[in-house]
Amino acid sequence: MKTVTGLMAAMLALGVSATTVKADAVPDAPKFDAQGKVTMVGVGDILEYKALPSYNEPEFMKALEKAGKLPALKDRLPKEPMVYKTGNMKDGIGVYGDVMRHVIGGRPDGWNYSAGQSQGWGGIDIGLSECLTRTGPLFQVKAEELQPLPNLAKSWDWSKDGMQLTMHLIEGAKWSDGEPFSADDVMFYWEKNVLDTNVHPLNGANPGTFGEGTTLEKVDANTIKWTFKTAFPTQVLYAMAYGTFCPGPAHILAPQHPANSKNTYDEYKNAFPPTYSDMPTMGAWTEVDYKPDNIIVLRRNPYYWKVDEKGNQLPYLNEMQYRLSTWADRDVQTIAGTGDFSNLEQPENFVESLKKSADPAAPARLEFGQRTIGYALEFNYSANGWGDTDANSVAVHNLNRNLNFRKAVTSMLDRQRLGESLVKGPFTAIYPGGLFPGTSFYDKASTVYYPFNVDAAKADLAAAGLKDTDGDGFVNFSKDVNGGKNVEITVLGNADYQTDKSLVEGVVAMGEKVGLRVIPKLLSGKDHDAARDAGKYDWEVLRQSSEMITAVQQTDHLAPIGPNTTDFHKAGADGKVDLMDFEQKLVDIVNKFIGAKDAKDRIALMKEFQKISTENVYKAGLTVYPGALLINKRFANVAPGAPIFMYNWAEDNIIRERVYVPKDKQSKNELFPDTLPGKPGSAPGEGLVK
Amino acid sequence: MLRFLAYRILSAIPVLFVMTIITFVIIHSTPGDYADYVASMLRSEGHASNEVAQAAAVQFRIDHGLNDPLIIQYFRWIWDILHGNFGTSYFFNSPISEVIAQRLPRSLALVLTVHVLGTIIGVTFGIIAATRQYSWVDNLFSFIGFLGISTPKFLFALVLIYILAFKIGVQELGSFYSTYWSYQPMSFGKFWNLILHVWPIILVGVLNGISYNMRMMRGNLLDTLNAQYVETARAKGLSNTMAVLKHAVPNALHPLAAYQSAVMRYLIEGEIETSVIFGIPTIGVAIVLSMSIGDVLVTATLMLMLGILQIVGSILSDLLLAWLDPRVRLGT
Repeated sequence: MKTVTGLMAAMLALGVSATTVKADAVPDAPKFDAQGKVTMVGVGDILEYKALPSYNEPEFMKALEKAGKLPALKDRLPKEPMVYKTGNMKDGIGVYGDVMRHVIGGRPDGWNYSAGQSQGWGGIDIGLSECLTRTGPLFQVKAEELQPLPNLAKSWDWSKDGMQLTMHLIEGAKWSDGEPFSADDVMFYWEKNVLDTNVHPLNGANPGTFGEGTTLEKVDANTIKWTFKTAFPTQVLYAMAYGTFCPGPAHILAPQHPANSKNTYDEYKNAFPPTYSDMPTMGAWTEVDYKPDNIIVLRRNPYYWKVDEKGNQLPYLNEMQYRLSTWADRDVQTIAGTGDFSNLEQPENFVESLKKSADPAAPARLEFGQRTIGYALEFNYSANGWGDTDANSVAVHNLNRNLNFRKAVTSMLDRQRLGESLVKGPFTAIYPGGLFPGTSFYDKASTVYYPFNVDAAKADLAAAGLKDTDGDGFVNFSKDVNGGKNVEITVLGNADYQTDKSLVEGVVAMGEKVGLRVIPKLLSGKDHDAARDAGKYDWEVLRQSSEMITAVQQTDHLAPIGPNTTDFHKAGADGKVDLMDFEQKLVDIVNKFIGAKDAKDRIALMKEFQKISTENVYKAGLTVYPGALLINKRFANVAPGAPIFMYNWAEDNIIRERVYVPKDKQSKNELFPDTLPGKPGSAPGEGLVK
Repeated sequence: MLRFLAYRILSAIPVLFVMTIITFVIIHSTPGDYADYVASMLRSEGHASNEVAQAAAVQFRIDHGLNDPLIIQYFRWIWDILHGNFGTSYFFNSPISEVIAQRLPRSLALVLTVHVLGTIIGVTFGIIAATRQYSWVDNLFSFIGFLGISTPKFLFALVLIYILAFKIGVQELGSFYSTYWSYQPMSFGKFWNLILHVWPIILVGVLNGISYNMRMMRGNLLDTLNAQYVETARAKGLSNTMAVLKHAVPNALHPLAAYQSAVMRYLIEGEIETSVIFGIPTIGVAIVLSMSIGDVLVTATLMLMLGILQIVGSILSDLLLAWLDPRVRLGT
């Protein structure tokens, strides 16, 4: 044994590459029954816009019409409403009534989304706002038809040269207070909120969001025209969905804007505090009551412009409630049956929650979607001073740029064990890095996977010039780097989540096996975010965001196409990103992808991206697993396999306006039965039409 | 007595002043601020890009003076407080005074209920255990006391919520009232709904309180039961029960009365642990939440409030001790 070890040491000392890691095929992800199967369809299978022979509404609204408190339904609907196809509704045409009870940890700043106020998250804004296009339900759209769904913009045409995009808005639609919706609302949002640099819409819409130099003009009351600086920037259609192009009611907002009043910008932003109820919306529901630290109640929008094929005005659910509690309480309430909806994202809870939901008496059911939650080990690539704290961090950041080193890191990771440290069973799958397996642009053949191999990892460390010169079991820098000290790597993780902590601990332990001293840096909340944003780490265990799932959203996160677009490689003091050669190729691919019109070109570009990024271990993937939608059993029309997050959050994905509760299962939880939103600016709970 | 009271109140002012400085510095000593939270929410909930999220954070710092030197931020806060303005919570987007007004009464009601029940039951158990030393009752109470003291409150709360939500399917969890009852005027039905929601939180706190009070009372009473004046009382023909209740118990209560000066801190700590786990809107949850997201003025103001409560508790404890013990009262 001693002889073998000695031989190995001699080989390494001589700089001989023993058996550096070899690429292999990525193992297939295990299948399991609790994972819902998505039926892939075309856009035309989900919806269309057309006038129907007759329309219908809840009985209490008919009574309000009779009493003269509400205009006739035909006058409230647009000329051609959006019609959801029955064939795409799992349980078919629904019935009216009941409520969906959410629990959230956020609190509302106010109702001025256009000026940057949050409504408390958890899908409130998704229920209130409608945007030019829609992305949430795209998880069920076939790859060859993949593009955002029409929404407020019912259709669009590109000019021949691709420099102009004409959008046709839904005609005759109205805000929840009965005022007409038109291109003026769109233009007010664009001119007085997006272009006005003193206003900062929630989710950060700015002129650059739609391409530098892009202009927008009103053609007529129902038509707008975009003009771009590049041809066919189809990517902007995604930016026109939630949450960067959801216009607010100009007839309410414009009088408060500094351009039309003596208000300051701050006064404009705060002109619609949480106590300003019945703010007009285009969404399926409108806020009618707010009790601090208790609840926000939304009631159905009587002017909602979507119907089912039988002409029933949507939504089917009369009310939405948002209990103002904590995010952790959301799971507990849903499991207990006092809440209706939660996104189960922590794998540590999967088994227990599955067991609980299998009980026939359990109020909630659990359905897993695709594996769209994934973690990767990100390397801090900046050798330009960004995030440097001391000589060691400078040396490690430079080391991160060495391919042999990254190969050593990826092959030291036993991903099977890492997944099992989170949850045992078929939930987690091996994730080599790059785009998530199973997603639209993922291509297995283009994915380079370096399997777990301790010996190969050690050989790659040696090839990177790292040897244990002091015999303490940990490799050292070469003498001319950082004084030949031990290589010490800080790995940042979010201490708020057990998943993050488990993965960090796993990486630390696996590093030790190959002689890498990895030091966990677990921080909570703002401390973690501050360290991340300042680059105060060498590696980071991070949950990957939507660019790894869809490639078409947050595409600029895929590679450093700008000075600050990726969170692991930013510009130094000189404003420049010190790109590596392969990284430059990734940047070029991403830029081409953003400007690509043809679906085939986009697919080919992403294959190339996948190959280069995984071959070079741009990020060392750790594990992927599905989230589970936890929803009360009484709800119907929830699409099977709806992911808790893909193109948007589950609150958008399941198309809540067509979710219903069969009559025999309806609860008596409506707080304001038989009422509708009233006059904008009413006191909470007091403006209701009844 | 009035002079004593005035002296205690005046001497509290510099303590509070120093406390504001220490609190403010400690709160700001960790990296990150609310602007980081804003950026984080934009990224996670709104799918905003890094650049957009960072730009929003930069703007937030400018708008709210977070780039100003700490000393300026501190004096701005103190100046506002001296003018009756506690500032505005970034997270709740409402005046901090409103946040406190909404949450403090609930928290105080909870902790006082826990305290009163824990004290009454604990002292009673302590008397029973001490007067039946080494009996099965004493052993049982000692075991309960050991369990209550050694089990962390958060762990007890976690186990309880697991059993209630996952195993029994209890509906009344989180918040003070079910949604329906939160819309009703106060009635017996609403009060009962309140009890159904808060009993687990009270149970966790009371079990700990019982354990502490019982162990302390038992120990003190065992000491005083052997004191000469108790023997004398018995020798004078007083029944054992009367000797215990009239002479031994009042003297055994002194350390417990002195403990009241520190009890508020322990009670609030306990309230924080259990309320966070049960997700009910109290001061404890507001402190933890505001600290984690950098809503610094809320944290600082709540810490100041707790400091004031601690001082008030200390003064009340001194008064209670003086009332119980003539030696303190008469200054002998």
